[in-house]
This record gives sequence, structure tokens and C-alpha cells, in this order.
Amino acid sequence: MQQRAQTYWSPYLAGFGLGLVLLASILLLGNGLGASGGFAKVGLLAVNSVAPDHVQGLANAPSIMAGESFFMKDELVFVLIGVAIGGFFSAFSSGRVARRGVVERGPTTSRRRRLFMAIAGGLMMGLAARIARGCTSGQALTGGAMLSLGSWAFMFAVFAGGFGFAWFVRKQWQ
Amino acid sequence: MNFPLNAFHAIGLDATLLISLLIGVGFGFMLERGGFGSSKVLSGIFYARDWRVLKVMFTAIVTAMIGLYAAQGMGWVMMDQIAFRPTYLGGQVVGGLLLGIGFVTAGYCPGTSMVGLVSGKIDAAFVMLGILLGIGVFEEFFTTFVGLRDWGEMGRVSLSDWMGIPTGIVVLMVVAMALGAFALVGWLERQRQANLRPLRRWAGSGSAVAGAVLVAAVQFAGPGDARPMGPDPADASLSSTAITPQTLAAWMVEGDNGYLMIDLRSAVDAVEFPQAWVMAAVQLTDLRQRPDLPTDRVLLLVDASDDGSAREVADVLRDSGMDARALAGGAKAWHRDILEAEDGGPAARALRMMSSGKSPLLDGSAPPPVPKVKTPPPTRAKKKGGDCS
Repeated sequence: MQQRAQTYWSPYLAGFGLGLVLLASILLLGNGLGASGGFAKVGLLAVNSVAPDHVQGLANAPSIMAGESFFMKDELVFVLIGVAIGGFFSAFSSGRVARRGVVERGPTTSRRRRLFMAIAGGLMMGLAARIARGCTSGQALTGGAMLSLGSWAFMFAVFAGGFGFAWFVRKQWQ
Repeated sequence: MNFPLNAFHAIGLDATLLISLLIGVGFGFMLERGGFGSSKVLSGIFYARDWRVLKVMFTAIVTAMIGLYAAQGMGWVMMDQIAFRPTYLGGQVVGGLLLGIGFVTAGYCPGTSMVGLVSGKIDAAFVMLGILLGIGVFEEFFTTFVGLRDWGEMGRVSLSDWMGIPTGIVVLMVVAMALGAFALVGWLERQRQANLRPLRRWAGSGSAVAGAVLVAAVQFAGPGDARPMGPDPADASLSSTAITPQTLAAWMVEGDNGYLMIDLRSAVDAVEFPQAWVMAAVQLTDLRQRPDLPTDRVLLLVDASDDGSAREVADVLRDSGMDARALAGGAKAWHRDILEAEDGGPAARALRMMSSGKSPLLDGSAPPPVPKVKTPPPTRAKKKGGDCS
């Protein structure tokens, strides 16, 4: 852990770089960063490819499918693709890609338990990101930099929820 | 200089997508270098084990905030064209609490799960699957959740509006808070990790403070928001009796379905607006014969010019409780100011680009001069700021 942490950048340097990317995104595209919106678009596109009638029936689908109808040409999707490329480049060039795949977990936690926690936590976050109109990137980072009241409330709520619930799920890291 | 660049699609679709991709690359790179490809690092904050999440997040927020509000103070940014995150206090607090619970359980947040996945973390793939399922649950039961999402709507409220303090001061306060938090966590982890070297620490803190002071200075002395390039559509759209051609052009560029056009000319003359209903004025004024007339959209009446009856009909319809407005100057003004105009403002340019086949339409990227949209339209609606975008 100690040795690996050495190879990361200083959090302040990474944060500064991230801030510049965020600033560029706000000034160039007027929108800021985001992740969960891209997930929603990809998810609905996937469902739409197998069950278009079902997607048509969803009350909120039009607002997700906005613009060039059911087209992958979407900023949010492109940002997400870019995250995959940039993340991989950074991890690969620092020798941090686990080629065979790993399940990060505490020594006493089973693989199955950790994967169950991952999917359950993910489900909760997907739902929460829709309720809050954004996730840590779209609300906390972007809205935070814009000094939006609701985004700051969101950010503190995330920390509150995380710290408050941490005790209940502590075992997966032990 | 006018930011954002894509206001009213001053740059095309391909350029927007390329920029989006590059921004994504930078985003993913910085997240990974910050250590966010590992759930152990990410969850560390909630056990006071590793404070990287807090350090990276606050540094990023402070950096972007200083840049944005310095540029805005200099008069380079049209703030009304930025997708400022609107406040829905109830929805965001509840959503934030749930997201925090999900975050500590999953070990990743949505953006970082992608970074984890490309770093070969199988648990990150499961997190992504869970996120897609969660979004699916929300969309399937949209009518159940929408009330919670929209709870506590306050509109575009900044911290400065809410506290009644100038933005420059708020920026200073945020920087002070961030530096205070860094000092606190530095103190908490003193036993475990070597501190930042004093020189770096002072250089970093010093530049943040200097940046904030710069923002405060330009906020007080600078010109403020950049003016929109054409006639301001936001003002015109507020008129309850008529709208300008520029406003209509902006609505069309937006793909907004919150209005219905009714062309009072004969079907032969009405060629500019293929989407409009062609209807004689007499048919319209007796509403009992028109039970299908939507009452939740703006009815936009078009005539050949202002000499026509559009304004009168709009008056009658308004008396019956409908939101009816006339297109100022009628089709004649539409031709003169938009279709055949030299410039006509950003919306007119974008519209002409669209009609010439180069579609710059991209959801969520354009700002909203919006009429009242009470129901989600069946095909295309804009979504700006509505999602984690």
C-alpha cells in the first residue's frame, strides 16, 4: 500500500490538474464534467436496442434521449469514453493495470461478498444520482466550482451519508 | 472573448464531441493519477485512513472556481449560457445521503468506477452494473421518484445569492475553508504520512489565496457577465403578448416543444413553418369547437405581418385562460430578421446552419431561453442541468 501510494501523484497536483480540466469543460462546453448522465444514456440506448417499445413507454425517456434521438453522438457519452481512455493511459503508463483483473477487498472478506457490496452500492448510487440530478462529478465537482447552493448541500450530504454508513460496511476492507 | 464557446452552437457538433472526448481523457487521467482507480483509496476517506478524496476534490473545486469567476469578473463569460446547476434542496440532500451510502458500500462513485474498470478492477465492473440497474429502477418508477427529485426547487441559486454576500467574498471563504480542511487532515494523518514539504505547502496555499484575491478584485472592479451576442432572447420571451423572431429561433434551435405554432394564413402561404397547424382565426376564437387545443403549451400565432389578426386572436385566447402569444411582425419579420438576415444573432445563425443541413443540435449543450414546458414533450426535450451532465 505504502509503496503503491508513492506512485500516485500528490493529491494536490492531481486536484489542480482535475480543476483545469473542469474549468476547460465549463468554459468550452458550458456544462462541466459528468458521469452518471452518460451512464443513463448508454443504459437506455442498450435497453432501447432490445426493447424499443418499452423505452418509448418510460415517462422520462424523452429527456434522456434528447437531441439527436437515439444516437450515440452525445457529449456525455463521449466524456465517458474519454474517461476510459485517459484512465487506462494513466494506469498503464504507471504499471497499475491488473491484467488478469483483481477484486480489491480486505483480507477477511470473500470475493463474493465484495462483489455483492459493489453491485448493491452501485445500485444505490444509480438511483441517488438520478434523484440528486448528478453524482460526485456533475454535482459536487462541477456545481461546487460554480458555487451552486444545491451542489454544496449535495456534497456535504454525500460526506454525511458516507461517514454515517461507513461503520456498517467496514468489514469488507478488514 | 466569449465563453462558453458552444453558446448557441458557435462551434459545430463534431468539434463539441471532440472536445468532450479530450476533456474525458483529461478527467480520467487526473482521476487515475490521483489514485481514484482503487476502491481502497476512495473508501479510505470514510474511515479516516486516506484523505486523498478530500484533497483532490477541494483542490479541483478551488482551481476551477477561481478560473471561472476570474474569467466571469473580466467579462469573458456569459453566465446565463453556462449550465449552472439549479438547486433542488430536498432532492439533492436526500440524493446526496443515498449516494454517500452507496459510495462507501461500493467503494467507487460513478465516474471513478470507469477508471477502476480500465485499471482491471473487477469490483468496479460490478459497481457500473449496479449503477445501470439503479438508473433503470429510477426510470422504471419515474413517477414515484420524480416528486423526491424535484423537492425543494429553488432555481439558479448560488452560495452568494443565498448568503447575500458578493461572489468575490464567497470565493475567498471557499479557499479559506479548503485550506482549513487541508490543514486539519494534514494534522490528522501526521503520524502516518510524511507531510508536504513546507515550501510546496506554502507555495500551494499562497497561490490559492492569491487567486482568490484576484477573483475578488476583478469581481468588484470588472465588468461582470459578458452580454449575449444578439438581442437577448430571455427578455423577449418574458413578454406575455408577443415574442420576437429571435426568441422563436432560439426555441427552434433548442428543439423545445413547449409551444405550438398556429398559422393563420392560408395553407398555400404557410410554408415557412411546416410544423405549424394551419387554422383560420374564426375556428380558433370559438374554443368550444377546439377541445384538442393544448392548454399546457404556449400557443404561438403567426400571420403574414403585424397587420394580420394574430395579436387580436391571441388576446381572445388569453382571455379564455390560454397562454397565447403572437409572433411579432409575423412571417414577414421572420424572413427579414432570421431567414434572410445578415446575422440576426446567435440563434438565427444556428437555425440557418441547421436548415442548410449542418445540424448543430446536440442535447444539453445549448442554453435555455425556454417557454413554459409543463409536460415532457413526446419526442425531444432539452435536459440541460437536469442530470449529472
